[in-house]
Parts: sequence; structure tokens; C-alpha cells
Amino acid sequence: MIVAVEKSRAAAPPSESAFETAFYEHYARIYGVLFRLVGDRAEAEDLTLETFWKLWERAPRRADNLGGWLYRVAMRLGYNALRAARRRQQYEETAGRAALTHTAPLPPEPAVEQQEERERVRAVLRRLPPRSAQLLILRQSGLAYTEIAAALGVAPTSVGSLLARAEQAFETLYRSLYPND
Amino acid sequence: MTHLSPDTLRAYQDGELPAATQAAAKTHLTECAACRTQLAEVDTRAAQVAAHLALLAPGPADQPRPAHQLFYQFTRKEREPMFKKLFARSLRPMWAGLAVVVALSIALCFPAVRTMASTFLGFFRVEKIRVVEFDPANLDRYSSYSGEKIEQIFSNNFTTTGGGEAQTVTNPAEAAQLAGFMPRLPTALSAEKTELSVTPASQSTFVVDRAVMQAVLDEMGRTDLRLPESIDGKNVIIAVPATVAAAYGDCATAPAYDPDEPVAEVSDCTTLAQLPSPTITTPPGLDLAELGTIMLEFLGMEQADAVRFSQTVDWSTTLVVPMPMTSYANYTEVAVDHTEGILVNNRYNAFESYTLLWVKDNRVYALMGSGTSAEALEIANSLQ
Repeated sequence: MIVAVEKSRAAAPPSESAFETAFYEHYARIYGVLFRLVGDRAEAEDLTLETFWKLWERAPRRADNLGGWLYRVAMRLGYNALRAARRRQQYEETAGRAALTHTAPLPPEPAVEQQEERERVRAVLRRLPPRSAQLLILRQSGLAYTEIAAALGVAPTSVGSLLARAEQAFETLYRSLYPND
Repeated sequence: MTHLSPDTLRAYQDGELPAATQAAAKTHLTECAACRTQLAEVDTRAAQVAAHLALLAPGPADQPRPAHQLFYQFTRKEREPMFKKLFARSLRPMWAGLAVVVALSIALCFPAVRTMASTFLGFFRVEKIRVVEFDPANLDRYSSYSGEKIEQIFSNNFTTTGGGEAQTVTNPAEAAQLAGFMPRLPTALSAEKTELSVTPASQSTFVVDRAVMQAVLDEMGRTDLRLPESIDGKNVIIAVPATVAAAYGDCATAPAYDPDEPVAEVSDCTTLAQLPSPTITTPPGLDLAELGTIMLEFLGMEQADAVRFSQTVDWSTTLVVPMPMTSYANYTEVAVDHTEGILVNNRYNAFESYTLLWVKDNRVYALMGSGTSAEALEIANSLQ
């Protein structure tokens, strides 16, 4: 029985090491973009693992654009989480969270204002079209135009104009939501 | 050269134009004040937006754990495929959804746990549910075990009669006729978009082969756990009554994952499964507490703690659900439907979903949906 187990290990798929390489190469930045969307370390880690889990289960046929595929999956998961968070917030406000959810300890006072600022930025992102929000996050995370193009499935030459428009939309929306800021 | 559009200026600003175009643009800007003004505008806006977005960047306290730690956690998740399937959106309309099966699936997803579950689960009629937490890392020691032998035990010694496909019905009265009990339904959910179904009752018999099961434990390295002789050859009969499942909202099976599909809405499906408490009969004289203790030790509990816990549980009436401690799922004991229940929150697939499990008047209920704990309890408390 033990022997049989070792044999099956030797026959493991050759792509395992390729997967590991992809993991170590991309995980930090994937985490970075996801954190920007959800703002919580544990959740960002979970979503990062979820992203790579999908790679493990359903790797794209073409391995040349692995980074782009990963970012696309991550943005999908992250953006959904961003929007799900809004519903959670709404219900928690009406129902009261106390005994029902695991509440993180309250942050210290000075950090609360910073947290509110972040929530305002996320509130704007949530209301933008998905692609615009994702574009802004990817750019802020330091991705080059070609990488952004791969992640969003657009032509690299169009990234400049998409970015300009997304920034315009962000600014307009922010001003209308928070005129006193 | 004609004036530069804001789009071009934006790419220029990032230095992302093709080399020749970038150079040409630079030259043009030295000669064109209008375009320089435009560039300043583009620049200012980009900087302002960037300043806002920079707030979202992870700070020193928000750094992820080192890569190898995350990778390790990932490879461990590979050994938890059943959790993922259990909480996957597409499984939520559990037509064959027996409430007890949900709870037991959590336990049985680890091949290692099945051995123990098969021996102890025989001994009760579910009146209450109790959770015992364990660290999934404790099961890593069994990871080299392939589990084929355990599968064999089950296919050789387990026979089921009855059961089968769920039958759709048009109204609660029809469900009551098929199932033999009148289902309670949540008034908090709209009756308009409901689908009712009844899964027929089933009976399963499991014959315990003690020697084989002990051999499995031994091979997994747990020679310290000895199964009592008294269980050998015993028939364990599990009777699962008919189940009524009510699905609310949009419960169509989710399509296969495609990163290019438009952003999907949060799932709108809520299901309530209910059935009279399953009963499991077995010859008397079996020491349930002893078997329960063995199960707990198998899950990694220290013997002293396992014995102590075991003594606080009435194994003949309590369904003990092993709950793995993970970052993506947690549970709370809650007050629901004038009794106590277990609420499991899961965020594995980035949607917040819940499973609420409770027993009332000898009927087991399982409520599954996406949303918050408060929503879950509101629905459950509206049962009539």
C-alpha cells in the first residue's frame, strides 16, 4: 500500500513545478492588487490563494500569457468582493453586527479617519464600470501598459485612452459624491 | 505634427508610447504651448487620482505572509477539495440536500475522518448539533495515505435502498403528501419564485469490518488508536426520512468559470432543506463515548481533552460536527427558531455565503444562501 502511494507521487503532473514558478513570480503583486480592492489582509490572502487555485484547476491552454490570465482572474474575484462588501455593510448597519459576525478589533482613533478616506475611494471604485475600476487599480499597482492590456484583454495601444477616461470618470464621480473633500 | 490628444498625452506621460512616437511628441511639446497646457492638465488629474488610489496600497502592517508560507497553505487546500465543492455556488441548490448530509460532508470530506465517522455516526437520532473545532494541519500527517482502501470499505460494506432523484412538486400540500410531513417555510422569502421538491426516504446498511478498519488506522500511522472488538460485524442501519427542499430565487446551476465573462451578480439563491431527524440503529452495548473519543483523537485532540469532551456529550442524541479552523470559514452558535443552531460563514469564493443548521422538534433544518448572518437568521426565524 505504501509502495503504491509512492509510485503515484512519481507520476505527478510535470506542470507542478511550472505552477510553483508562476506562484512565486506573481503572488506578491496579485496580493497587492487584491488588497487595494478589499483592504483587508486576510481577505486579500484568501483571494490570492483563490486566484492561484483557479490556475491549478483550470490553467489556460496558452501558457505564454499566464500573468495576464492571473490578473484577469484576480480582478474578477477582487471586484466581486468589493461589491459584495457593500451589501454586507448595508445589512450590518441595519441589523447590528455584535454577536453575529466575527468583528475585528476597532482600530485606534487616528487610523479611523484614514480608514474612512480609503472607504470613500472604494465607494467610488465600486460605482465605476468594472473595467475602469480594474484599470485604475492595475495601473496604481505598477503594471506597465502591456501588462494591463494582457490583464484586461484590450489592445496595448488603447490603454492610454482608457486610462485617461477612467481617471476622468473617477474624478467626476469623486467630486459629485464628496464635494467637500 | 498635429496637436496631441489627451489620450496620447496620457500615454506620453507614462512613457508608454512607441519609441519613435514618444520622441516626436517630446519634440512637439517643446514647440507647442497649447499642448503643454493640456499635458499639465492630464498630469494634474492623473496625479490627483493616483493620490486617492495610493491610499489603498498595503502599508507595513498589511504585507502578506512570505511566499513560501502562502504556498504551503495553498498546497494544503489542494487536499481539501470537498470543502470547496461543498461551498461552491453551483452546489447550493442541494436537491438531494439532506441537512445531515451537509453536516456530515464537512466531516467526511477528509478520507481520514470517514473511518471514524462510520463507526460513531451510527449511534444517535439527531436532537442537537455540536461543533468541535480542529486544525486541518493535524490531518497533514495522513496526507501520504491514498484513501483507496477506505473507498473500498465503503463500497464493499455499504448498501442503500430507496432514496433517488428529487421530485418537483407544485405546492406545500403536495410536498406533505409525498414526504409525510408538512414543511415549514420562511415567510420572509417570496413564495413567488419558489421551487419545492421532495427526495424520497432511504435506508442504508453498513457492516463493520473491524480488522480492515484497524489496518487502515495502522497504515496511517495511528497505531495508538485501537478500535474496540465489540464493533466487529455489527450492522449499522441509517434511516434517512424524506427531505423537502425549497429553493428561492435564481438557483440555476452556475456555468463553468470563465474569466472573460462579464462580472456576475452575487448569487440570489437560497435553499432550505428539512427532514425529520435521521435515525441510526445499531445493536446495543456499543460504547459510543469510546468511539467518539477515538474520533476526536484522530482529529488531533490530546487524549485527555478528547476524553473530557466526550464526557460532556450525549453521543446518542448529538450530531458532533468537526469544524476545520480555516481563514475562509468560521462558525458561531446562534439562537434560531427558539432553539440553538450552528451558523457557518464562508468566504472561500469571495462571495459571502452561509449554512445555518439546527434541529427543532426532531426535525433537522439546513438553510443555505449568500448574504450575511443577519439575513440568514431573519429567514430562519420566519419559518411557519
